[in-house]
Amino acid sequence: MRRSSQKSRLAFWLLIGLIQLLTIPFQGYVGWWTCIPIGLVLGFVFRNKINRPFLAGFLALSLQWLAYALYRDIQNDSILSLRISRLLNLPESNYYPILITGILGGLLMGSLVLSGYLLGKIVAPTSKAEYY
Amino acid sequence: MAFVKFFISLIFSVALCWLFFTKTGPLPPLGNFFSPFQGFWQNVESVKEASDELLQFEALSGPARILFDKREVPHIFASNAEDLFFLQGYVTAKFRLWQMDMQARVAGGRLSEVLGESMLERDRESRRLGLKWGASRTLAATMANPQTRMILLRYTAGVNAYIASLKPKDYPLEYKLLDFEPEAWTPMKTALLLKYMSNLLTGYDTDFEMSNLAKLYGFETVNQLFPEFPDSLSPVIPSGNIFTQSDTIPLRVPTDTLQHFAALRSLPQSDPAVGSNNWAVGPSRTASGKPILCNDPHLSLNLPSIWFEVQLHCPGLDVYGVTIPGAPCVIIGFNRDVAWGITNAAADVRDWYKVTFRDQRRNEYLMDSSWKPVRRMVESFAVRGGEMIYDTILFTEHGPVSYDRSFSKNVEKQNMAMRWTAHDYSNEMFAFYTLNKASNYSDYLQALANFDCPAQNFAFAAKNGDIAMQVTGKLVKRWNQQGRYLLDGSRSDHLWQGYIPKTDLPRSANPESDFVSSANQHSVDSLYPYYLNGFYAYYRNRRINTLLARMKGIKPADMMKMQHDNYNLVASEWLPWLIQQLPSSKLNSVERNALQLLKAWNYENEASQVAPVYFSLWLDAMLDEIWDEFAGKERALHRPGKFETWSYLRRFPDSEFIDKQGTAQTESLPFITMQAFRRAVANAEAWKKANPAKDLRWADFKNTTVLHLSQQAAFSANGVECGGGEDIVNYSTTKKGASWRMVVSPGTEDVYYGVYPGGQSGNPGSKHYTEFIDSWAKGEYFRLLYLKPGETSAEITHATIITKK
Repeated sequence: MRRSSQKSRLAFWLLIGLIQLLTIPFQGYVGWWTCIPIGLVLGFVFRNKINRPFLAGFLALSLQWLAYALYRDIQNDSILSLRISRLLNLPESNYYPILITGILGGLLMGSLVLSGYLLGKIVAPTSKAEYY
Repeated sequence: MAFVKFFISLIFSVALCWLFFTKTGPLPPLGNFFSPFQGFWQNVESVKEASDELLQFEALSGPARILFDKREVPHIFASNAEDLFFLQGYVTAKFRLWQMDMQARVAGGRLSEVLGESMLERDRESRRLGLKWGASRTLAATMANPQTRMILLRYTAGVNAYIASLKPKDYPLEYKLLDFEPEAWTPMKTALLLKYMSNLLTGYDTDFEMSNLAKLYGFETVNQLFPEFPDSLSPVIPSGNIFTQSDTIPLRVPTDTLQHFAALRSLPQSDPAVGSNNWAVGPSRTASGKPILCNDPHLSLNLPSIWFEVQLHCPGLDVYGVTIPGAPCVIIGFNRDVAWGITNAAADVRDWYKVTFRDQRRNEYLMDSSWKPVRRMVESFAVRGGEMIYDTILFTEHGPVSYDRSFSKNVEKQNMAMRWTAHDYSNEMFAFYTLNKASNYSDYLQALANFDCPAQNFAFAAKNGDIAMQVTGKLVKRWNQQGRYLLDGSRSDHLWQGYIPKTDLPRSANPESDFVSSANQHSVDSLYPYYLNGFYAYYRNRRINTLLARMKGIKPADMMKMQHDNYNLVASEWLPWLIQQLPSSKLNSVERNALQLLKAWNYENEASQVAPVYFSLWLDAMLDEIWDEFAGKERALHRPGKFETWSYLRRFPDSEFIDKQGTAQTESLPFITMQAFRRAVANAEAWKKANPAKDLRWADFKNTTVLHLSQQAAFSANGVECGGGEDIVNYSTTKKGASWRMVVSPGTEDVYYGVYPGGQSGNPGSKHYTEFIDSWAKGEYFRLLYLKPGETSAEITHATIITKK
């Protein structure tokens, strides 16, 4: 971060973009579980380019899931989300299910990107040259 | 260090993925449930009106269309009956798939397959009650008739066409929550659903309880407590009706008195209080000169609703009404010529026999003086997350030995075999199909000749002015009191010896009074030539007949008002007497206020009244006080109800039952009335403390709830504001009520009204899920759109056009 903060910030947003690009079609046509290989691989690939892998993964999928859930909720006038919040024993508000959806998506992708990233650090350590 | 970090991160990821994939306790798989691409967010439906849709089916022989009105009722127009029933199956599955699946699982004993071991005993019980066995016989009868065979196969194909169109993300929400997948529909599942209804309506008896009573107190007392024909009967088929007796073959009647078996505990069974009202008024009583038919079946209030509304049209068939999701044809409804409505005949069509096995191997049982072979059936149960369970059920000529040493359910390892009309070979679907097509009274009679179980009172009205009522079904030809008590399974004279011929069923057509009605009361008076036993109601019928007898120039609005009649006949009879018994000088101020409210009460069980709360608590406490002898006994006893108690106290004011057991002094009626009143007021005060945010009002106290089938409060409608009560025409309790209210006038264009407490969609994410509940609670009705072919209406919001592929 200190030495190549600009570069790493760029890579951070690039990673978020890539996650969106890959996970949206794969989740739509195959299933949410395709996030698992995508997260692991992207974390591995970006092991030397970013400093906050968890945050990148977390932001990417939580924002995506949040936005999609919010969109569905608006279409539905919150009929279902209010019932789901009661089902989860939460105060009746459409925001809780939306927020939980976002957090769950975020935790999933964050932990996967981090795992791929840390694995990368172990099996393919950074060559010094990349720091300069 | 890097390795440790990786390891922690990996553990976290794996654990998370596991939770995302797997059902953990009550939690659904988080990924499958929360992912907006697959989970519940895919079940939300846009609040905008759905748009038109084009569908293609190879299985269709001609073009068809389904018009949806603003309440999402499908009006299906098909080129022929084959296509029509295919589309009924398709569209019903589209709205109610999970409900159909679950209710067939309840009857078929397959809940543990998806819900786990906690449901195993319930599943075993369903199989041991013979529901699956009975369904297989109903299925055989249905498939043996070419018309019902076609209907059932086409309906099944339609349901399966819908299931085949689904991707996992489209599965109904409950599948995602409970984590299982829909499976193919089969004709057997439809047969199981019909058994589900039979069980709901006739899965009740008091054989054990009555036997215990007789054992403890003797037959004379039992007959005093439960007279066969009490006063103020007002039966379904009014007194003075001429009955026929075409079957004169004498019954073999046992000459000795019945033997009784001690220490039997109670059996699990359906609720006796599922009742209903129906009536029809003839031309001389209506303003229009056309008959009006009304029906409100009282069942458990559930979401998704037990009913699904539909119009079915093809050449030769044009019918509108409510259907049971999972079963073809209309169950309650009307066509251009006739209308019909159903109530439970409350007849006893289920008897228990104590079987005597030869030895512990149970290969033979005693019948008269010989040993007969026992049949065995092995039932298997797939249990989610467990091993396959097998249960061997023994069969005698009576039926399944439901309760024995391997399934005792509180019955102490007695060998109890059951005889039940729900087990018999019958084709009710054919009865409904022909009724759907009926155009006059003789069609109605012909259709009902095929209806066996559950025994029902069918009210009828036709546009030519005919009205009729028939107690319909397979009624057992019994000797006096046969089936009232537990029977001896080793005697052939205790077996069922035949059925009342359908031509002799109690019926009434165009009576002089020009109205017919039924409300689960006695079918007939004592002049009927056959013996009938049943679990009869005593209040709604009398109120209905009193009201109808004085009505003239009836308009549909009058009938709607009558379906919401809140007059508490129980209170009008009991309360003045209770108040008279009460020594008012001994009351404290809270009690005095309660008494003032009761004295000023007009006997209307309106939502906002307080008096009905005090009255219902008082009467409950009073019955507890009087029948304290029956409580907490090892053996199960049948306690007299409100009417039986009232009638008994009139006849036996000094009965020993009034005295409380286990006290030194002899309690008098005024004393226990006082005790009961004190307890009622204390209970009301306790309710107030437990519900500080609410006022003590009848609707809040009664707390009518329309409960989701999974019992999830989140998917239910809780605390529905409505009046009425038990034994009131506007029947309404915490969990039960009018499951469909219909007022129609055959032959009068556009006089079709109906409402049910639910919504067409079974999806909690749809605006059509609870759409009708507010209107239902307020006592409003919808004008039912009964379209003619080619007709359009401003109420049609979208359409599905179907062509052959």
